[in-house]
This record gives sequence, structure tokens and C-alpha cells, in this order.
Amino acid sequence: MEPMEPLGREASEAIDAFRRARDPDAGAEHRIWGSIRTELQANEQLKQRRRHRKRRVRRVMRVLRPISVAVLLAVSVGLLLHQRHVRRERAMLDRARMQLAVGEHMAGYRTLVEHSREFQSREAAERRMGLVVDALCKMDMPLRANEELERYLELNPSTAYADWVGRPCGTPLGPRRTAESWSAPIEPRAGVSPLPLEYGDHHVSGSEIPD
Amino acid sequence: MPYEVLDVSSAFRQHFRFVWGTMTALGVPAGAVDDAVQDVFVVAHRRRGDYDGRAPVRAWLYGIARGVARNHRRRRRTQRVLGPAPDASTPAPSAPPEDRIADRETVSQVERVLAGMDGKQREVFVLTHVEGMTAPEIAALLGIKLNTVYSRLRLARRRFERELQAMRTQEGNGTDGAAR
Repeated sequence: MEPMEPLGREASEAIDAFRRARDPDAGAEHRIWGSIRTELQANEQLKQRRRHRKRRVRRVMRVLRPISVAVLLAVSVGLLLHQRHVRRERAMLDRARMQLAVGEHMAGYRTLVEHSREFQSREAAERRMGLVVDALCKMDMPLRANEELERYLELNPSTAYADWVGRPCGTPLGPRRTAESWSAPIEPRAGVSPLPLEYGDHHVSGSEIPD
Repeated sequence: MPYEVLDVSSAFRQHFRFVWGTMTALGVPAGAVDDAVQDVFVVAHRRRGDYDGRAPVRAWLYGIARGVARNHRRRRRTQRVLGPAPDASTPAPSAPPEDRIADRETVSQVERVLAGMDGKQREVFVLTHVEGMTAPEIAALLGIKLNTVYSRLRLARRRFERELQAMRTQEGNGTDGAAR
């Protein structure tokens, strides 16, 4: 069969009519090109707006980048310093704990006083308080330990050591003292020298610490 | 190989009629041809950087036209679900009034026969008989073997003639019945 043989008469006429009907009208080319040009211009404007926006963002970023780097650097340095500070603080408390464990009570107490001078934060004070009470108890000064606890409780009402008040060294202190008696100076017990320094978060007075 | 970036304006001038006819081959309804042709050249402008000059511009445009026509057909199906599309077939403005009616009927019949044909066969059939392209040109355009073009064309013609005949017989009977 000849592949390109012409269509039958009827089909050929139908195709001719179809072709005539489908031919673009006279103004079609001009009309469609006008629409294309309008759309392309609109697209171009859109692209330009996007380019401008990108440029603006880039300009802002150019300004912000050094600032953000500086802020990041400052924060990193701050974090490093804080970590160092925390490490030192923990090391000092560990030292005090070791001294108390090996029987060097006064040395441990002195370390705690030093700690209270250097580290004023509430978290540090909370951790320190347990060791201070331990040190005073080991130096056989339960009343003083209780006094420290009560004062600490006044400043930090939500402290975890609130339950220790009245029995700082594990045993009750006996009948609680009245308000008047609390204001009276503490009488040293026989054979135990009073501590020459005031221990606390706010002030440390006294300079003579016996060895 | 260095090549010049495609100038859409000159491509439009050279290939407008071809793209217009292609839309028929690809089954785009008459009322949507304007928009479809516009879309083809807008896409061509957007992708002009991709044109490497190896294939003829016409073949490259045809590739774009295929995608655009597919989208239009899809859109038309959606519209059909939402509501009936207006009858967009229009006779040639120069035809006399009595011929116009006959033309309109013929165009409608041809459209229906083409719409019922397989897409690949319709493509080859319209490019041959409506666009007047030769088989080797179609083979190059579609990137298929020459024998495939002949085979599709043979089937398409057989089907077109048979369907058109059947439709005319059926419609002739229907008209006679109505007249009686």
C-alpha cells in the first residue's frame, strides 16, 4: 500500500473545511504576539522585583553577618568563662569536702569561707550550706550550725536544708530557744574554741583563722 | 558548539502558523488555541537558554507544544466536570451563509472523529493532512522511525474515513427520521 496515498474525496473535503475553519483569523498573529509581549514584560518586571529583593536581603546580611559573628563570639567566650567558673567553684567545694572527710575540719571550714567570698550565686550557696553544717557539726558546734541554717532559711525560704533546722547534726538540739535567747551571744562550750569569723553569704568578718 | 540564544520574536514570526496548526493536531479545542499558542511561546522564552541549536527550532517548539496541549486538554476535562464548555468551532469568516452551516457541521464531525482517535495516530494524521507535512518531516519532528509514521498514518486514515462515513450515515438517518 502506498503510504502517502491521498484521502478519499469525502474525507478530503471534510479536512479542507476543517483546515479553513481552523486557520488563524487575520488578526490572530498580531493579537497573540501582543499578549505574549505583555506577559513577557510582566514576567521581566517580576524577575526584576525579585532581583531587587534579593539584593536588599544580601545588603542587610552583609551588615548583620559581622554583628552576628561578634555576638556569637561574645556568647561563646561568655560560656567558656562560665564553664571555667563553675569548674573552679566545684573544685573548691570538692576540696572542702575532702578536707572534712580526712579530718581537717578547720581547713575545710576555711575553704568554705573562701568559697563564699568568691562565689556569690544562690546555687553555690545551696551546695555550700550542706558542707558548712557538716563542718560545724564535726567541730562539735551544732548550735552554730543551727544558727547558720536559720539565717540561711531567712534569706532562702525555699532551701532544701529547711528540714535540717532544729537537728543540724542529725539529732534534735533539745528545747528550742526563745527569741530573746537567740539574740544573746553564743556561749562557747568547754574545750571548743569559738569560730573567729562570721560565716555567711553576705559578709565574712574576722581574719584570724586558727590552724 | 557555540550557538545563539533563541530569539522568541523571530521564532514566533516564522513558526506561528505551525504552532497554531499543531494545537489542532494535539487535540486542543478551537476556543483555546489562542491561549495555547501564547503559552508555547512564553514557555519557549523562559526556556530559551535550554535550546542548544542541535535540533531545528520547529522540533523544539513542537516538544513544548505537546506539553502545553496536554495541560490544556487536562484543563478542559476539569471544565467539563464543572460545566459544559461553549462550542468554539467557527467557520471561516469569508464563507457564504449557506456554506457556513454545512461547514460547521463538517468541522464538528471532523472534530468528533479526531477526538475519538488515538492521540499518536491523530498527531500524525493532522500533521500530514491538515499541516501538509511529509512523512520524513514528521519522523524528524516526533523523533520516530519513518515506518512508524507510515503505519500510524495508515491506521489513522482508515479509521478517519470509516468513522466519518459512519457518522454521516447515522446523522443523515437521524435527520431523515426527524423530517418524516
